[in-house]
Amino acid sequence: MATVTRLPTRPVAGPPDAELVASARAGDAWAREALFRRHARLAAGLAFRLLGRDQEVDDVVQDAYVIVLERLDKLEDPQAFAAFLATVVVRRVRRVLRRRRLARALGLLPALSPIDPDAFASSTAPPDVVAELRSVYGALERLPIDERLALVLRRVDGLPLEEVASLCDCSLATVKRRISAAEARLVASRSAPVEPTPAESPRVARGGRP
Amino acid sequence: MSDRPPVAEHPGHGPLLSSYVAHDVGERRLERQWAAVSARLGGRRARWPLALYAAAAVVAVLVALHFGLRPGAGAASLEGATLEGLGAGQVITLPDGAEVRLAARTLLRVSTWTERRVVLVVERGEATFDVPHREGRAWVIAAGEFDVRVVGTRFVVKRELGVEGEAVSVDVLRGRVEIVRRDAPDAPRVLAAGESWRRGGVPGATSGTPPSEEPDAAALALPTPAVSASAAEPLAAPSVAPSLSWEDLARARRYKDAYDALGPDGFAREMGSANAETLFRLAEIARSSGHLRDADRAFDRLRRQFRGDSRAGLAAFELGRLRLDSLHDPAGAAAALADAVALAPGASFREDAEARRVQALDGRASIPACESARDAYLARYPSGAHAAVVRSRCQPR
Repeated sequence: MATVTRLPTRPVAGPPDAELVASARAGDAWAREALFRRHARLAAGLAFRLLGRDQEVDDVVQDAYVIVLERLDKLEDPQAFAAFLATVVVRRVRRVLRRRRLARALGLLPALSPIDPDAFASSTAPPDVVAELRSVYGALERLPIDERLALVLRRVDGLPLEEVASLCDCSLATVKRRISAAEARLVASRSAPVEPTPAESPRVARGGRP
Repeated sequence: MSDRPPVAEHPGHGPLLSSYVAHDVGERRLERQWAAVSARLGGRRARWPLALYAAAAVVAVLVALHFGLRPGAGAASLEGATLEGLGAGQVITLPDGAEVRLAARTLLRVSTWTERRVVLVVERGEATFDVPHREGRAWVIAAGEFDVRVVGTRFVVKRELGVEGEAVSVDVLRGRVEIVRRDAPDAPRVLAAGESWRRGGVPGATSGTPPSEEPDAAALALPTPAVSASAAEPLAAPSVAPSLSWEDLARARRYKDAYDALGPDGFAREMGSANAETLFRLAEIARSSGHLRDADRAFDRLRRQFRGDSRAGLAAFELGRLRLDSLHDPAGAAAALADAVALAPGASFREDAEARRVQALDGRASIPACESARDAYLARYPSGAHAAVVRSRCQPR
């Protein structure tokens, strides 16, 4: 796995992740809990920004932590725990979105209401930032899932393309193509009502923001 | 979000948008998430180091008694000791922290126990090993004419003696192991998590011979195993075998496979005799494999039948979330969430449960019930994480 360096980490007190990972591998329960408490909010924030709503964030975070804590022995660089966790969070979000889309296509779930970025835009956000959030999230539910994930990681989290590619498990060329396609859809959505993509159900496409 | 980094400039797009996405994860929510993660990790380890050390001390004493060690005897005294599974799922923690779960009628023998090398011989039956990595120490499980070299992992070794000869199988749940035929140690077969390997009907085995109650050290001791006529054959390629139990698959987080392994009506059958821990695990399997109605049933039974169990409140809360978010049953969700609060009034998820109950009651026929729940939430959590949303609920429509 490529090293992801610009994930939203913050300086922390206490032992470095590598030491916590080593202790957790040795079976120390407190080290597992410390790894959880240190990074859970960051994982939840990433999941929230990718999903655009709070509804399944807890499930994603819990699933991701169960996976990474049980697979610590696969982590080649123990200091890269946050990157490992972020990769798993992105995978779990992709899985949630796919399951949700399939269920809606089969009529098992009602159409989702469009994401309302005004509900989560910080009160300190300048008008241009709010407009940008509206632009991205207003069209998010209409985008194919892989394009959606790449777009949020690039436009919202501001990650370099290499790191977006790493988190999305794809090549740099692929992630560039996905982001370009997503950007094109955003532009189209500003000028005209967006037609549903082949990957999305018509019910979802009709539920977009005006 | 309190952990949000300072607002930064996105090199290509101006301000970093994530800096302005507010998503609050309060301490209570964090507590509830960790409780759920801990429960799903199996709770095999205590939460606090002191409790861990105390439990380890008790286990060490029990193991010492089990092996008949004299006070002051060294670890080398383990050599020659036997471990026998008297009932299903008996777990023994060895002095180095390794855990061995013995199936019924399983017999293991400690062949070597030194600082640098441990060798356990599977005389018969099935055992699951959870071995922490320790630098400079080799862990080997000997089964028939094969050795399983451990790196730091969890895996199952099974040795059967039948009319067609001896069969040895290995299922890796976590980590990685190497399997070698003892007379061809340079050609190991590596098995990774989720992979299985099986070798059946080995000609060199004693066909049809029932296992002795006491191990025959001379016949099985390393490194002088019986060499079969097929010793030069390469090891078979690993394959994903269906031999793992649903419990093992669940521990390996292969929830869909675990659900499938339960077989037709297996979920209902297991639920019939399940204790609280098993019910919680079944619910997780069903929820994670997409069988939401089954998950509903398991969580519901847990909270109704095991009200004194520490998981009952969490089960009721998870049931409420499931019904509200996925099953579109707000009335059922409201009932479950009320029960969650009643079962665990001091739990970390209480605020979430009360807020979600208001959400479940919002839009229902009884506005007074919604208002009552809303007011109760706001009285208890006037500046809670959900206060703004809760305050806007229960409006006539």
